[in-house]
Amino acid sequence: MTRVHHTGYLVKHLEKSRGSFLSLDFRALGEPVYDEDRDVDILFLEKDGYTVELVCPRSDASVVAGLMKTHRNAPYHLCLETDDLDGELKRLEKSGFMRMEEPSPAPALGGRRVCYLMSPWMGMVELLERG
Amino acid sequence: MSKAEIFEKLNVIFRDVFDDEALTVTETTTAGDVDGWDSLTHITLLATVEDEFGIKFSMKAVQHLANVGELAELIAEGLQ
Repeated sequence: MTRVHHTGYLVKHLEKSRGSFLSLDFRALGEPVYDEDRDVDILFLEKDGYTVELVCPRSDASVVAGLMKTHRNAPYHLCLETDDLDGELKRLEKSGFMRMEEPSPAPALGGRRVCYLMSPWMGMVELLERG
Repeated sequence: MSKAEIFEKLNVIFRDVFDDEALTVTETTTAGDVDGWDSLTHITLLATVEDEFGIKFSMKAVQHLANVGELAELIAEGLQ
């Protein structure tokens, strides 16, 4: 079983985006965290039980830098939390999702393992191992 | 499926993924020849190819594709 954990928002300027979300009565869940492997700054915010993850690439070397040209400030992935990351990965791969990487720790999520997959028909999904 | 049929289907996929109706790929087409072909659209392209052709690639096999011709060869192998 999975549950929705957050929606990932690609943003060009983290602090300006944080200000916009705060204006919408979101509250920041901590401070920004730098994810060195993905070369992005990350900040979580929440409102009414809905959590967003602001993802801001630091350089063109970031894995999501290319998305900035097509998405700019926009939601681009859905994160699902699961008790069985490896089992869920296998299930989704059989359902037409393509694994983008091997599972790895996410610094902004307390080092819990995550893995990104791509569906050609609904876009990017992040699987997060329940802590 | 013949190689010509694979390329016919591949061109439909490429035009959809890269949103370019004028796009035509050949054996020698590389990522540098197609506007917007970066690491993420590459994954989208491969996932679409898997779905449309009904095959599965191994991650290892698709990591070092040099051009569309090599992708077509992988598809042909997957269809066997």
